[in-house]
Amino acid sequence: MTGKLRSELARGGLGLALLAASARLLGGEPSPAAEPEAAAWRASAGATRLGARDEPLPSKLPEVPVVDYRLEVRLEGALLRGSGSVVLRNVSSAPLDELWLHLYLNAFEGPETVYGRVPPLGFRGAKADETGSIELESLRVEAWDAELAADPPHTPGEPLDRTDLRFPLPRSLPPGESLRLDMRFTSRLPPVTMRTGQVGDFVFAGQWFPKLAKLEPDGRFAHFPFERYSEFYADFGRYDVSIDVPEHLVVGATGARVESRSEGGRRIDRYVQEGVHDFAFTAWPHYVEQRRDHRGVSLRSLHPPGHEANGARALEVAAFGLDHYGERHGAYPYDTLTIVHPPEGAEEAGGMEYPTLITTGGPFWASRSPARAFDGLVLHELAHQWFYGLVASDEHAWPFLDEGLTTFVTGQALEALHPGAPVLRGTGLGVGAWDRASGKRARHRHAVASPAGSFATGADYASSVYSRASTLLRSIDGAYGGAATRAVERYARRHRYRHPTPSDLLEAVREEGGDEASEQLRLGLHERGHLDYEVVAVASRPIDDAHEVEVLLRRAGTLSLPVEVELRLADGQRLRETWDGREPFLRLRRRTSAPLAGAVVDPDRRLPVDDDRTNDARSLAPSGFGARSFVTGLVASRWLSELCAP
Amino acid sequence: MSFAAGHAQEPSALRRLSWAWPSVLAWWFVRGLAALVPALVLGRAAGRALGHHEQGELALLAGGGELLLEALGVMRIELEALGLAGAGALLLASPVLAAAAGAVVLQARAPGVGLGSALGAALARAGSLLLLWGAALSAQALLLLLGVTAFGGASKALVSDTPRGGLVFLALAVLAVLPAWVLGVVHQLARVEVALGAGVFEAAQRSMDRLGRSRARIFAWALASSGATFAFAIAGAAALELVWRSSWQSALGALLAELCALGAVLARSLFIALTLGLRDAEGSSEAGAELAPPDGAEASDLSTPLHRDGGLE
Repeated sequence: MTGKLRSELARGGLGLALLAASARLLGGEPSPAAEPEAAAWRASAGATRLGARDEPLPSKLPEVPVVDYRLEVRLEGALLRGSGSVVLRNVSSAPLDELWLHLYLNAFEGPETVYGRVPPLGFRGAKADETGSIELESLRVEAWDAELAADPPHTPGEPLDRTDLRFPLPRSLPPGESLRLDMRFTSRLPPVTMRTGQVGDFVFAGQWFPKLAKLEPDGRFAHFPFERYSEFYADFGRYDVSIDVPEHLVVGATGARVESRSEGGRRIDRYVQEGVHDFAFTAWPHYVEQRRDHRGVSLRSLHPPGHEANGARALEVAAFGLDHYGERHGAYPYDTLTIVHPPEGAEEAGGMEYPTLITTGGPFWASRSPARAFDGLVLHELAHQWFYGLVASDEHAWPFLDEGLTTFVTGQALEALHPGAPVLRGTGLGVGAWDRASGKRARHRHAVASPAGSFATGADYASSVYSRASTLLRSIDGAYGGAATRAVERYARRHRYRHPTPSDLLEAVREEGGDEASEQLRLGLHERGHLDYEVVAVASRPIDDAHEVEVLLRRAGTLSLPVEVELRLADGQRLRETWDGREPFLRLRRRTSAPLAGAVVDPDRRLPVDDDRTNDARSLAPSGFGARSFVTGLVASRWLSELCAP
Repeated sequence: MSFAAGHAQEPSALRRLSWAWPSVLAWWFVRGLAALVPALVLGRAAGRALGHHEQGELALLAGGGELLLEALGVMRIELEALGLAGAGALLLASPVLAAAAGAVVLQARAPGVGLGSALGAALARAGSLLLLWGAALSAQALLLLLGVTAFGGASKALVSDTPRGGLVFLALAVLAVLPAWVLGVVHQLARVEVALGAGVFEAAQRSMDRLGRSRARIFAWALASSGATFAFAIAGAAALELVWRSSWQSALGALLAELCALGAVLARSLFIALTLGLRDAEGSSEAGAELAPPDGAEASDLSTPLHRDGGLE
């Protein structure tokens, strides 16, 4: 999810050519795609063999899912009255004597919850004055005739937090056995905040049901209270959810709609999806719907009236993204993708990912803005279908594994979509430069590979796990010939439908770039590794018919990435050499045919991790005055004076 | 826009402007002098940050401005100094700027007035001109603050996130700045009166009266003047792009940017000339009503001498 990208879309402006003709209101759900051509493409995309793309994809899901939810939910204003069951299969190697359930909406019960005590400080979400909750009215194992009760009835050590509850089992559940839990609950959605909630007649239901914590292979549950900067972690499973809403509401949800019926002024839509680890839905009477089929995936855009251009652009960019990511990280395996643009006043529901459903955001002109933020937002949330969705790392323990990798591949996708001007139309500002500037804000205060709850501020969290992680990967790419890109591709394919850790990523980097590349990335991620290359001094003197030139290079920081050095001679010649960067400095002496004009370290800017770019070059004839800056200042000051003293 | 003044026998605005060209140039020159101070600070700061660089300050824009982002961080302290230098230079230059604008009024009033005498007379009025400028600027800032506050509330209530809402947003934004702009027009009219000898309050009163009598014409001229100034500002900014290319293009860009700045001063001077024409036409009408000109004498003969209204002797 990204709050940062969305916040860059400011309000105001005008002028959109409406694409209303292509918008269809309240159309029916398309049937799951089964065209032979589409199926063939998806199979071939999955089997593409290009370098790291020879990594085989898991052919299919486990036949019996770890969790199998069958829920019915009735929407009554901000209330969700739910009932149903979840079947848990003990896929661990140990017998289970307890269960852990997340009741995430209880984070909004008051200012004393774990979530409520932490201010946003540069991240999404308002102060903790929202009210929301989940009351678990019944949790029962029918087969054992047992009603389960939380012990204690709150998060351990947090008497005012009920987001992480332990339920002792009356008997052990052996490995390989399954347990069906019947539940009844009422959820109260908060005013829209932190990706979920209700405002007016708009509803976005995320983390709305009692959700089993992720069962780890050793029989422990990976459970945690809902923290402000943390996202989620769960087992893959099957979700079969019937959503009961007033008939006039337009519904969008995870998965494919397999059934829809009307009863007494209400409509019940049933959505089913396998191979996912969460389920979200939205309902609003004013949604405008646009659709597009792309290589067998049914794309659906739900947006407010007046946002037709955004809706159309979202479909276009998503289609591009499905191809781009599919080719690199394995084909998108689901039949549907729903893109939701929340209306004004519900912006906090935007910029988020759920399985087969993503949310965007921004004003009506967002997709026409010179900044590529809207395209970037769509591509970012779509990339999460891989890095979070299909490759389901622990977002609480290792948030960089989903956000950092997503930021990294999103940048590459933006560069592919807008070659030469990926950040701002009309400029050559690169995504790497953008990420690097954002990543520098945290000033190495935190290790990138830290749990979400360990960051001091939301700004530190975002800067580190999104931008710094991406900057490190780009630098590994630059230093080791694209090793990070290939490694991320390999990692994504190898760990599809799995729950990898940072060591799995490092292993993939080792395979693609060698031990040194993997170690440098480890230092950067886990040890706050940093780097600054500098051209300290340059000298040149004639000797006989030639010139002896000398360049003093220095490396500061704990990383040591191979880097190119370019000697620029007065006659225009450019001589390049590679420095392995292992020593803290290098005195480079060469005999050249022309005098030296200057020297540049990392001339192609392949190492965005370099802390200070202003010292990357040095001239033999330095100037103490910037004439162009002077003229620019003169013109700017003149006009300021014109404004203030007409 | 017609450049002819209201009265058929008055000299045209362009003719008045041709009398005032030395003061127009002086106005442009003084503004440049004031801008020189922050510009020197910026040039020095850029030299310190990137003077050693092999590409010099051109490196700022390499990679789409990547190093510019970097250098802004390095130059943070110098940029703060730049802001202070700019504000200080503007304050120090403001009496001369006000006098230069006043000199335009005086030179455009009659042919043959030398720059020295016009500037000297305007400098004698500099206190009042400065007081008028300060009062107008403060009032404009207050109106702008009120406008923006009202705009914030109104846009929250009235602007929807749709294309139609975007138009409403723009309309509200225009409404928010409109009072400050109108006050700016009054300031220009009052400046003419102050330069010709009136006190600040009297000048404000007269300019309000004049606005009441000829509001359509004055607003049309002011709108044209503001539009031209805005166009010159855009062109000046575009010329900056050249500054960051090769040396000769850089020189050309600087020249074009300065010409645009001169254009803006001309646009404002033309507005002054037009309002002077209107003022003199009103004066001759009043004179015509009270004192019939002798046969063969032109009405403008009665209205143009500089000593009327306490002008130059």
